[in-house]
Amino acid sequence: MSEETTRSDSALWRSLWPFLARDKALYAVALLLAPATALMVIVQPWLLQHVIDTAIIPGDLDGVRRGALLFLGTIVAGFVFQVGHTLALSYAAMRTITHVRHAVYTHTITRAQRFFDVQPTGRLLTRATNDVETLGETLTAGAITIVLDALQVTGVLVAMFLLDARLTLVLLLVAPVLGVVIESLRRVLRGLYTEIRTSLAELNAYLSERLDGVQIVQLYRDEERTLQGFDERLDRYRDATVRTNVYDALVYATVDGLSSVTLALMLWYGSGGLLEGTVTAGVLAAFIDYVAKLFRPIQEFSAKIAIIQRAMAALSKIFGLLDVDEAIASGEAELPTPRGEVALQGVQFAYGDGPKVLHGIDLHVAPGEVVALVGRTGSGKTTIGKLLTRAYEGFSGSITLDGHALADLSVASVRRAVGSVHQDVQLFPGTVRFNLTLGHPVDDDRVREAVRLARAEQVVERLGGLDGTIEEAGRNVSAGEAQLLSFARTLVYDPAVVILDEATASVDSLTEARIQEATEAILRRKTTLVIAHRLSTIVGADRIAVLDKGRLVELGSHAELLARGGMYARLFEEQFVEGASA
Amino acid sequence: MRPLLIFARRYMVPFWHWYVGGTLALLATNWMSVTIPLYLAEGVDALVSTDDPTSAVARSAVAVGLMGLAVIAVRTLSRVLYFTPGRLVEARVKRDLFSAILRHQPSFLRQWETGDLFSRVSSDVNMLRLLAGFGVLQLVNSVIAIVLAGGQMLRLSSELAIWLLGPILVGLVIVQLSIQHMFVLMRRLQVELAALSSHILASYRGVATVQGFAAEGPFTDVFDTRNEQYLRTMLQRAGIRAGIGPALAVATDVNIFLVLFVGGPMVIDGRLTVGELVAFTTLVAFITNPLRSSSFLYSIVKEAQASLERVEAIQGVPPDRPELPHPAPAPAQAPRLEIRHLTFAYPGSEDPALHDVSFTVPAGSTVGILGLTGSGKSTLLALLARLYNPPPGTILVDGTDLCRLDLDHWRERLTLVPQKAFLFSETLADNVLLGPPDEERLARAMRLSALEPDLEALPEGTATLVGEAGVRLSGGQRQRTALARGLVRDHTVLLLDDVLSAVDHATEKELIGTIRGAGSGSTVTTLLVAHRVSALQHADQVVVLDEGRVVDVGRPDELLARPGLFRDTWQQQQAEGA
Repeated sequence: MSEETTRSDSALWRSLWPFLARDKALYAVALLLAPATALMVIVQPWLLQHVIDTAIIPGDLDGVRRGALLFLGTIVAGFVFQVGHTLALSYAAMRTITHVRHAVYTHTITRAQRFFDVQPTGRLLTRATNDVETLGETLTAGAITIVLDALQVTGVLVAMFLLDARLTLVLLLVAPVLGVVIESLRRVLRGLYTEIRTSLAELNAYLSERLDGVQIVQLYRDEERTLQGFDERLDRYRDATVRTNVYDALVYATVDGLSSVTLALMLWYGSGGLLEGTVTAGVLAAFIDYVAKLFRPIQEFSAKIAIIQRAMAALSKIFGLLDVDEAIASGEAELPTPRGEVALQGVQFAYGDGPKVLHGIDLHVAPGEVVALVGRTGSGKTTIGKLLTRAYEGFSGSITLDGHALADLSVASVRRAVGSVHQDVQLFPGTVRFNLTLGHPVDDDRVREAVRLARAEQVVERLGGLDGTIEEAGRNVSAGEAQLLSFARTLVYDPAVVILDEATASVDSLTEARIQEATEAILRRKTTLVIAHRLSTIVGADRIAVLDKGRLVELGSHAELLARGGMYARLFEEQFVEGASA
Repeated sequence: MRPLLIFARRYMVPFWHWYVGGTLALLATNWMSVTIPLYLAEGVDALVSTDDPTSAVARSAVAVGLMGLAVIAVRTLSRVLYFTPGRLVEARVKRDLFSAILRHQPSFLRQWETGDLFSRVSSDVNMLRLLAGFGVLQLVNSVIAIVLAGGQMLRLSSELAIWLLGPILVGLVIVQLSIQHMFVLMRRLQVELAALSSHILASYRGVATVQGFAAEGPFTDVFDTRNEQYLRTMLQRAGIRAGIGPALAVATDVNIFLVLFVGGPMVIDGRLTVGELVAFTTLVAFITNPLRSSSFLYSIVKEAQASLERVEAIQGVPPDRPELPHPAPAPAQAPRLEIRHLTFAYPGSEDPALHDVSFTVPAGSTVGILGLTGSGKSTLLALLARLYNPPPGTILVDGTDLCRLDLDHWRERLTLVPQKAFLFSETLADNVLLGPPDEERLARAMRLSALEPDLEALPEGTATLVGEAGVRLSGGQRQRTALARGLVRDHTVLLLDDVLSAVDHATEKELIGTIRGAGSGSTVTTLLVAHRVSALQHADQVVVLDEGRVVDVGRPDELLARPGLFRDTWQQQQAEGA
């Protein structure tokens, strides 16, 4: 899957528009204040000229003071406009990226499971954090200030032209030189910026992977080769940055030097003009100021372009993610009080383009019944659970819940009716309560009751009660404790049907006993499909469904199946014979 | 400041000739930049004066133009000469830091998450580059520019120059005060962003649970709360930036006002020429940038100091290798391993992972270790591979304390295949060989790990790119690739940590045969950890671990014959039917 969307730059800005539009007023204020700010910047040299020519040179002291105070007035007004503009702009931009981040997050957590199968979570996190931040940087420092710069440059040119048209024409001598030099440097720079971006991305990817696998590097004495790989990428990045420096410096210095050359030309040309009485000292002073104001935005232009380029890459990645339409299609029907009757008929399924993992499963589970799913790895037993919770779709045949086809029911109602206990328990940084309720409004009594039934009281107590803290990635909770918490979580949630994937990870004997009791607590009160690993669970189930290579090969109680002497009996025997030969 | 000086001596001083050249170029640039206004002033004055201005103006114009052209060369030079060592320093520090990380053992590195280490090598080193390039340039440039421009102004008119000091000082003080406030906000932003990221990451990792429990709504609420808290702090920062950011620019503008208000009457009095007044306006504008960047300097130095601390926390610590400086050589033949009263707790943990463990692995034998999760089996292997140093005298290799062995030698003789198969984003062949191409070894590795049949399904066989950036292998394939990587090495000690958990029974049988074959002739001492009894049936001996203690030792048939964890596990696994 490509990371970036194929939309054009203008299409990207159009996609961003709905987000920008939410703060239209603020952006409008920022845009309106931009010309006012620019105007103050343009008026100041004009005033300078006026004071020099009409007050200082004729010796009018009052005129000087009046002019100077007027000048002070434009400074204050300029400051106010500038602050207003910057405030409005950055407020708007910060609000925009907050909305974008919200959209990225909600979009991501509602994608189908298969989306997460192919997307590394680290990359998805980058979309919601770094990429969004980069966008914010552009909105405040890049995109709109370019508008302001353009206004200022235009305004300065108009003012110069009005002050002295012929002197302004001198600019026409320098402008083409400047244009050609800058453009040719920029052409090189564009390639170099891309080179920096790609070489840095490669360096970082390499670094992050080798840090993840540092133990292998060390155990296998692979340090030398690893450093070599790092050096190759580092050299490429370093060379690109060093070359870029040269061109960046040239652009910067050329603009700087050419502004002096421009002034020299004006001075030289003006000396001729003065004889005819058109160029005054004030005009020259104003032009010196104007030329500086004209060249500064040009100097900063390439830095701003670099920021915008980064932003386009970030935007492209953000919308590349928002374009992914892998949500599970939701039906309309609701199930207010599910009974927990599950029926599968002729269910076939394959993950993506992979081989079929289910070849026509027929199974009816009555409300309250416990069915154990048994089979070798790859027999398809976990897949059935994933289809029932609508983690995946795209199966053929029919699956019904209380007689409704899954696709007709709303996804929310299916997931409220069918809960699952996974082998690898996910805990979230936050309070114990949050981890048990997952944020659903549930009163503490019910939570405590669930904790009691799940035999997790001691775990909760050790963590400091319901308000106790669970650390990132459940670091302060052992595997067995996590199992118990996940049972409690399921009992709090109280679904009509439970898919229970018994953990193979073994735990100490005390926890083992607790898990057994908690499992029974769940089995007693719910319709349960249990992917069973414990002998007691299997024997205790109402029926056992034996799966083999995606087919349901046997169905019946433990005694029945043993007596039949088929696959189920063989699974036992196989183990027994193998064990005895040891 | 001391760490900064040490850093400068170590990384910047070697590039001293760049800096000296850059400083000379900066002197020339700034000298020209403050001289140009003087020539302009002369030109303007010549324009105003009545007697034959043309030649005087032309002289000034030529001087300004030539200097303008010269500025292009020297300014380019100054920036290249300063920024290049910045980049070179960046590359050196990055490399040194990464190689320091590779030298450090897990016992030391475990205090940081991978993301933290990554940001030290990337963001923190970038900060140091900023110091070594941009920072030094701004410092030197500001000093030169302010001294030269200030001197020029004092020479033109000391009275006017002193007036101009006021707004500049006020501007600088305001900026300094706001920067300190900004630091507080920046720290808060970092903390809030970390909390936000942590919630996002946890929701993505646990998305199956979030969706399965229909908790998207509540999770979004938590997200929104943090997202909006972060927004509020960002807005505060924006407020300060907008209000105080332009302080120095405003100071410049106020100074131009002062030039007019104070300097104008001076011109009328004849104490200043019009040209000099114009020169003042230019010089005032000229020092705005150096002033502004000198205010950044404080924050650059402050940030760089913090970054340096984070870099030094890794680089400044010697690797945890107790055998140095007098290491004993590792035995060349399959050694006898003796574990004696080994009690070990992970650093920072109070509960020992292993309690008083003692057993012996005869040279060239295969010993199985069975235990439940958390029984300490992986810890035991980690100690044997010295990912953590065992307490002195608790593990002996042919009678020599493991802690005294040369770690590099020991790791060359030892292979540990960890439980979790880690593949790099490179070809399957590179992942297995970890070195130059070698068809013969590669073929052997594929055979040993039963990977041959899988190769047909891969688009480019052993040249297929795997790992996160490449083709996704199944759990079993990954495990066998990791196993191939281990089996193909020349070793005298082989430690396998539950490496057959994701393969089916038939393949498990085949691989066990291979491993036994690899160990035959007593050339390899093997420790085989498993949680499946079937994988241990052929071991010479099995050690049963429970909660960090050895609860039983014996031949597999002996252990099956008596009650205990081994037999219980075996019975349970029969029932699993897997």
